[in-house]
Amino acid sequence: MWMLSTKMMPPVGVLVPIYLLFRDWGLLNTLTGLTGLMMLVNLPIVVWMLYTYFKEIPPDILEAARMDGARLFNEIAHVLAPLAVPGIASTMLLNIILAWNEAFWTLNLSAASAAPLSAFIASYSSPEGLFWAKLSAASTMAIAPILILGWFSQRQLVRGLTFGAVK
Amino acid sequence: MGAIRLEQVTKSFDGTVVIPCVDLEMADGEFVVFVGPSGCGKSTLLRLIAGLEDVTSGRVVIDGADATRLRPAQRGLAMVFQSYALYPHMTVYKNIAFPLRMAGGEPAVIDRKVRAAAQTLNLTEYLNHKPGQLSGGQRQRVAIGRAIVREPKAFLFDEPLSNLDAALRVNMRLEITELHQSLKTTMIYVTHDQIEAMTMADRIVVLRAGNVEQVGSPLDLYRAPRNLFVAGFIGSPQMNLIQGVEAENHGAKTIGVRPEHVRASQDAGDWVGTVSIAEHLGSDTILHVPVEGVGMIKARVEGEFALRHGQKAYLTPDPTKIHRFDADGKTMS
Repeated sequence: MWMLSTKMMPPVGVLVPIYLLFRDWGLLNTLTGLTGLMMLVNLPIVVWMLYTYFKEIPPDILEAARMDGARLFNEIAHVLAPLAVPGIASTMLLNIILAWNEAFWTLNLSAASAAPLSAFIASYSSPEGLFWAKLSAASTMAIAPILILGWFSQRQLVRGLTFGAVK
Repeated sequence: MGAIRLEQVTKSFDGTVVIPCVDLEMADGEFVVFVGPSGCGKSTLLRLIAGLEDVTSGRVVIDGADATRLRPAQRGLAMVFQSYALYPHMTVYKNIAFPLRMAGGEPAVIDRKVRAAAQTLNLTEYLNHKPGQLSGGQRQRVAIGRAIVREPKAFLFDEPLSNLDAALRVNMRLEITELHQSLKTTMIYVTHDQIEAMTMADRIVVLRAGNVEQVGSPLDLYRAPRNLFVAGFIGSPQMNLIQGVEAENHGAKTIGVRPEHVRASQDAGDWVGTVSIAEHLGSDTILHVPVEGVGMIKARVEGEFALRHGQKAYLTPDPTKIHRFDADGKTMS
């Protein structure tokens, strides 16, 4: 689980090299760059959650599929994937929430073209002062979708986070 | 056709030898039981036959053809797992149909075979249920049904009854035996329960630490165990094994006599002791009697026997049923 340890590192510690890489590769203020970064930043959590989920699938079932004539593709398509759908769904939900709420990287690596909602909200805090009304409206718009999504998917989220924790 | 032969098969895991060398032959239509204590390699041997593990050396021959390098599905075998290994997201119908779908069968043929298997196993009304909605016995029948539809050369059972309660185990034992009699297909059955072995097998293979200790019919193993291990493993209650002066009197290092071959009396006998435990089963009474100079002796008496804890018992072993073992634990002729 060394991969998970990378998530413990403060992102500001690697801001400069990441910024320089983005600059040199022409990824600053691009959706491609931000999307790629969001994927990689949350990869340890994705791997950790899916690992604990897949670990709980009994190996007997895969062996039975093998005995029944399933090749690797069939094992994945007919046995593993259907069993893993709840785990994949809860992992996806959590990562949507993490990406939606991400502010540090979006503020530092985007400007006008690729600024997501978090950067947009931060733009209302300017040298001219705080535009409270607009700030409040934007914040509400940012929170609402995640609140509703989280409300309806809380059971799956909790299951995905705690799966395998208790036998 | 389901004759299986193991030729000089060995198996190691990361340098640890679990099966030193096994030569075994199972005839077509035979019911062979691998029995032994936990960790003796019986499940490993079954998995080597199934192809779920690779042999380290040696050959697995099925119907005269070398199957050592074949994938599990190519060997024409079907396996019933201890945990049933049913697909929890599929209905009973889809579970049983799965191997036929993987083989590319026609839907009409698949449907016919699945319904036929379900009828044989009394599962017709459960075809739309998922495994989670079934009892242990029903799940086990689904696992057997999934094996039957493949019409395999041989069935492999890996301790299929160990998760069931005692009463259900007895019923399922009979069902599997009846299945064997109707299908006449080779069955290789792994269990640690010697009663299952004795009641179901045409031949029993007794394993210890990866080695085959003895192969024979249940009665052969019961009447003529080759060594101390087999003598102590087969038979319930376990054979009385006696060392010391009593054994020396019979010219052996150890003598053994089965509890059912020890006569109990309240009046007279060769050995005397005080009953420590009396198990009244109704059909039998099993007495546990410590005898000075001999050791703890178990005697099984038919029907109800009046002796209780603390009462004096006289025991007499049948001299024609005494087994003699040498210093190496091997049976003396």
